[in-house]
Amino acid sequence: MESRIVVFINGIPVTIHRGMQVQHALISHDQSLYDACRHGEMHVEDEDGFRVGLEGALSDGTKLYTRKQGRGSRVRGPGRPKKE
Amino acid sequence: MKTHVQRIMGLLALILLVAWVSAGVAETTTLTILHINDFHGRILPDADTDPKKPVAGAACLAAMIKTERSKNRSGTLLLSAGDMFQGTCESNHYHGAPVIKMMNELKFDAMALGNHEFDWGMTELNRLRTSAAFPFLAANIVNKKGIPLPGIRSYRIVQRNKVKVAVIGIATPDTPFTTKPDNVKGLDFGKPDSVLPRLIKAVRAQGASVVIVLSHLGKDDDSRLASAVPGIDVIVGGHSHTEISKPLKAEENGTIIVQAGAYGAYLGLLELTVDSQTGRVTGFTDTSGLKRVSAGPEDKADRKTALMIKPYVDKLRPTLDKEVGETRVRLVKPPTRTEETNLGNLITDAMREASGAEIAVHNSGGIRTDIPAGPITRRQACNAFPYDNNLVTMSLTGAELKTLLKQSVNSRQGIMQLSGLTVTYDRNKSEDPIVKAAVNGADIDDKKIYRVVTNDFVAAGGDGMEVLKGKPYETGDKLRDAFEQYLKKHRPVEPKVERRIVFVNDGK
Repeated sequence: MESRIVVFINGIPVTIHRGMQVQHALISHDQSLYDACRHGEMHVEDEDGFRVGLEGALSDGTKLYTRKQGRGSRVRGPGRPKKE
Repeated sequence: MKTHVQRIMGLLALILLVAWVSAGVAETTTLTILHINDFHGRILPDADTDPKKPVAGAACLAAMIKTERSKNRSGTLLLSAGDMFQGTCESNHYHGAPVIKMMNELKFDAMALGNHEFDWGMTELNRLRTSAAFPFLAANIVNKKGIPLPGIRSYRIVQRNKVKVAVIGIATPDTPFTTKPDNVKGLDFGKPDSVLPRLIKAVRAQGASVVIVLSHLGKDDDSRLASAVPGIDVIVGGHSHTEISKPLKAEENGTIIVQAGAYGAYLGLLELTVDSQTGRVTGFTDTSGLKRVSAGPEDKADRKTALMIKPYVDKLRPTLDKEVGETRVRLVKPPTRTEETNLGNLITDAMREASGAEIAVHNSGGIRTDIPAGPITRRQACNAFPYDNNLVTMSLTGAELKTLLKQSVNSRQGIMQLSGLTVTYDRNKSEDPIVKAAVNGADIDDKKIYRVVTNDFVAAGGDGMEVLKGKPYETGDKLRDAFEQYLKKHRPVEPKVERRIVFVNDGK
């Protein structure tokens, strides 16, 4: 198993060690986004619009988006995961 | 004549209606799946995120579970998708005992093994398992001989509202990357899509008409699994801390995917409609989704659970004031984050000793308070290092070490505190500020490989450490545990500023 994975923060690829979490991907990409999330100014959503925690685990290819708190968050009905 | 035709038409319509009702509308029953994941020891309400709206905690979660179960007593399953115990002082101190007690009281039906279930080693995992009144499930963990872990089951079959439900547990194959290697030594974490088809066939053969995979893979891998493996009705997930506000339905196989965020802030509720004749899932209700576990003064708390948790919390309070060491000198955090301090030296020395690495690097910004001379309490140690960081050890070339030192002195967030490594900087030389850099007295060799311990924040490239991004590493102890162990062993400590980081020509 590869020890590194690539995730996408706001569409930008970020290579991280397998086992790292959402917070680490944010730090690797742009520490100011991590700081904003930690202080509650922003939050993170996945590609289906569901919120994820900073200590959430990541998979190879995970797509995450940072959103300003109270904006851009989508309430989703039953949906479909995208085909890989 | 017209009336006669109308009567015949009316009769036909009635016959058709009766036939449609009896043939097309099957009788259904409801299965209620209550689920949580990644509770991480949150037995007390969390008021840190929003002091006006505390959430979670064992007592309020228990009240909500009991209320929801009472609505469908014979048709409810209560499941955990893993990572239940590690993560708070209250749970860590007792190695998860209060959480197991809460889960037993609430009559959980099963729990998937999360990666953090391995954090305290196999002995502690076995202790947790044997004290649980419900099975720990993981179908994809075997030892090198292909034998499953002792006492860990692949699946459990239960009957609810006359429907046989199989619950199969799946652990994340990423576990060896997230815990100390010794904790999972000799274990193989198999690919879920390799082990599941056989198990699904086996549980179906035993009469299970509903198959639930209790997964600690994370939502993206759950989605992949749902597409790759037919025959899974529901995946109750964890690991990615995803708040799936409304259940997802996979396109290929129709598998329903749910996950309830983390830390007990939500209770997941999935109401499955099941054909009573066939026992097969026909859908889920619109009321399925996440229920916020509010924990304010007006919110319902389960008294029995609260009383069960209280002794653990009460007993722990004094332990936060317990002495874990002593210092002869004031331990100083880096006041401007641009200087070596004795607390920086102490923590990096502790990191080196805990990991066996020859070099330790810790960010100045991760050291938050001073500790006065005298006895050191656990609370003071927690305040000085409030982040729940892990030690991580990696291999760096000498050239990479020099890059790290350059990035350290140029970082806007502050320099790295060092152990095993000394550096002299000249701030007038912005291109190449390193005058001299040595490991244990010897100049750094650009081609030599050095073992370096840091914390997971810095390893991710935090505080400007770009050179470490994407570097493979091994996970070690918790930083605070390493600190406490060092204080205990070297009591009393008397760390000094000893010119590990020196500036020349800096105008001082």
